[in-house]
Amino acid sequence: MKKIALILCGAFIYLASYGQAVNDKAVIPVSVNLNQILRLNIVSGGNIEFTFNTITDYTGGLTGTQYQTTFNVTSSVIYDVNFYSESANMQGNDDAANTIASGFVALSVTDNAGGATVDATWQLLDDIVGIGNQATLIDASPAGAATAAANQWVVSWECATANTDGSLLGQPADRYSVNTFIVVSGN
Amino acid sequence: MRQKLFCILLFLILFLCHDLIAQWTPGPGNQDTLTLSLLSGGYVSFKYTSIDAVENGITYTNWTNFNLYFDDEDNDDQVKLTCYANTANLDGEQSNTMALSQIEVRAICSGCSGDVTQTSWQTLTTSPGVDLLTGIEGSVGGGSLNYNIYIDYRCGNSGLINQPNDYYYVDIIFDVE
Repeated sequence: MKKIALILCGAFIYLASYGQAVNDKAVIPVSVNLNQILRLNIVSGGNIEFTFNTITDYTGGLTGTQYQTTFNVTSSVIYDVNFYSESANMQGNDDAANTIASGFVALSVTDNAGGATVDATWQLLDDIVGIGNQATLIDASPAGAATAAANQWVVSWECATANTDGSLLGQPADRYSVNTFIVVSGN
Repeated sequence: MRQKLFCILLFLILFLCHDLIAQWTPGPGNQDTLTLSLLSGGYVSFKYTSIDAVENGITYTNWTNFNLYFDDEDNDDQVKLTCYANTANLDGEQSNTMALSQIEVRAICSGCSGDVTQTSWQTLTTSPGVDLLTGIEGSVGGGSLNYNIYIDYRCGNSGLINQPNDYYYVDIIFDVE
């Protein structure tokens, strides 16, 4: 009987192992990690210096292509660009008691026709003081690389012109400065 | 004597049942064996950290390496390698979704010959999926063959601009039959 049991056991194992696999599967998990890309790069005009040397400068103000900031944006999503200034006043470097309103300086963004909604009106710096008062001058710009024309921007600056608080005649001579911030954020 | 006779009868029964059982076995043929073994590249991760990658996609070549063992006893069958996704989209952890069509797959069969056809980039779909290799045969005259198969992946070849940022995931099932 033992022999029979062994034979049956062997036969069972043989039959059980007979049906080999005729198809097979493998599972590969795939993940995609999308990090938001938002980068601003100042190409030129990172420091705008208005120098008043003549009475015409005082009466007419300073404007022109030499007073421009060029920047570009690299973004993986539709983005906005906001602007705000640090202070409502510009303080004199030589004499801290000297101040003039930062509204003597104004900025304007040129529409690059890249699809964004651009507010090209002149913005007085004392109207956009602080992050809470930032002005969205570039709204819903298409995403893409900085090399794309749609992501290259020019900001024009003027001082003491008709687009600003007006003439600087009568203001104490000094070197006045204020910081202006450019903020890129996802739309 | 009776025991010996019983044993002989039992062997005879088993021998006769052998072919019957083989015919019940589903698949390409009797006693065939088909095994897909993962050698390397069991996980694919696309990480986007540059705008170039977002605009033009990321491609990984020879990322996954399979060994396909095919023992075709009758030398009368062909099998194929297919792949499909287990979900209709790539699901994001923040409830965003990405279309499966952003993922493309192709298979390169090293040393394959005969009727084996390698398809070009295939867009990922749900089951039954897409064919990556077809016409895979066992050896001439019967016997087994080992195939070395590499899988290439690419993601976002048509751009992922404006795709919400998230961690997306999907399982790709590779099937040989």
